[in-house]
Amino acid sequence: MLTVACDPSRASLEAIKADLGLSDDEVDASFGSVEIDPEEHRYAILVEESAIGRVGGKAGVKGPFANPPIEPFGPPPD
Amino acid sequence: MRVLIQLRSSQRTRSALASAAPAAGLAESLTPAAPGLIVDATYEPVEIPAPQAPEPGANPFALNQPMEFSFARSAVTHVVRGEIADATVSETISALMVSDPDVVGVFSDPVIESMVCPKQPVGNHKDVAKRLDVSYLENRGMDGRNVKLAIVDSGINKAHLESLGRKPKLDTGKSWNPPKVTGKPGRHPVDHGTMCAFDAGIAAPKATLLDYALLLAPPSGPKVMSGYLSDGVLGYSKLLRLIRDTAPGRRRMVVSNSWGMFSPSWDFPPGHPGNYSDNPAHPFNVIVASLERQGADILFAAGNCGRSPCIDGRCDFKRNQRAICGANSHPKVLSVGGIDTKRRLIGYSSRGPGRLAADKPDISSYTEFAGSRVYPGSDGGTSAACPVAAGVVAAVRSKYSAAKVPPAKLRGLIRKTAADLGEPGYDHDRGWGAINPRPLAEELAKVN
Repeated sequence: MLTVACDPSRASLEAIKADLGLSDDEVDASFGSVEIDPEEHRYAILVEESAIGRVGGKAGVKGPFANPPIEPFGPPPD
Repeated sequence: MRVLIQLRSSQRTRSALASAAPAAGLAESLTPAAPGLIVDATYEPVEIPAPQAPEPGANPFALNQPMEFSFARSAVTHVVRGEIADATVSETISALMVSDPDVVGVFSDPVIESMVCPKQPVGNHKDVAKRLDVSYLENRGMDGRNVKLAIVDSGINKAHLESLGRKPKLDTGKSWNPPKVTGKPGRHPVDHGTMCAFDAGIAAPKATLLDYALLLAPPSGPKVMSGYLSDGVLGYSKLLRLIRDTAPGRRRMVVSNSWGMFSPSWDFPPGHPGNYSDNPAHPFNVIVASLERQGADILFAAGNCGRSPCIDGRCDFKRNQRAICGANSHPKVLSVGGIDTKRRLIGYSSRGPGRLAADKPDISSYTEFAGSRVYPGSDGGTSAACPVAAGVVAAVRSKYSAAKVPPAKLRGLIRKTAADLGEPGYDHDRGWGAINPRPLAEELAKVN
């Protein structure tokens, strides 16, 4: 997971891909570009590991961030 | 702070012990030296035999050797019980040690309590309703009406809730599925999410449920119920859009989350910029803060990684690792631990301190009761405790919007009015205590 700070007019996944030089295969289209902080104009995207090195240091980009599995805290199994 | 004061044998102590009221007699002689001390006059002074050094110069308290004790009147000591105000502990103890020659030592007197590892339900959902004073809330219009209550979980089965006599409102249009999940909101398989919806409905039967089936996201392994945190980011972005589309004066949204990480190995290590569990800059922790900022009340279960032998077998935290982590420990959420309907601590309830905020859990709520019939035994885990508390929040939100009582203020009142359990004041097992709806409602009425 990466986050990108950008103008809302460039916050679509297509625009972010273009701005960061990412190909279709390198991003998760079903996740898209997700607004996480409306006040800071920051968006999350899911990117293939192989592309992280190339885009990770670009202006406005933070990450990669962990994407751990999550599970319910239901009744503990016997 | 509760203390035990050990007194050597002296003319004065023997005289007090021989009197008709030994504790009162000793109290009278101690308190001039330490005005901050209140001796418990109901606690009969206890004689402690004196350990004897096995040979001159040896340590009489060494436990790894045979020990001998003297019961001679001149050798024994006595302990009395008392209490010192927390703010004056150091000076009161110093005063006692310096000015009273009969004081051998001042020791802590911690609360001891067994935790429970229930194998059977302790009470049922009606007992929970009594604990929550649901009738009192309902009589004042606090029943969840006009409140959106998002159950972020494995999906809700509305028909199952109806089969138990509930009449839940569920807004399918404002519910959400992760990508590739095909089931319909309200019609998901009967499982964990349905339990949570039932438990939230104990205090908030008229809330409008939003079904956020996060944990049905396609897993990469054999587990049916799981997801990835990125799905949580996606789900929360929908909630963020939903609340921002609501006029600020009308925002009433409660978000219940009975899930988390069981193992730190699933994360980057603490200190790594990509870490989740300790990192407020992680996208999920950012969006949680963002949603709260817009007026949502967010609750997370503390987790089931408490103490052996009750601990959930899935837990993989080492002894010295803080198990309440990531969003479950977020300063902008209520982190909820588990107690049973007798208000006993459930042994598996994760202990604080938390990682993003230290004083976690915030409060305790009820679990291990017969309720939803989703599972053969109890509605259990801190998974049940969290939506029970979320229902209380939704109930009071019926009357007080986020504009009137911002989420941070409500959290403060929930902590302030909690029924203190265990050690006086805050502790890392039960937080500030059991969620306590009636005093909470009374406090809200005062500030509004």
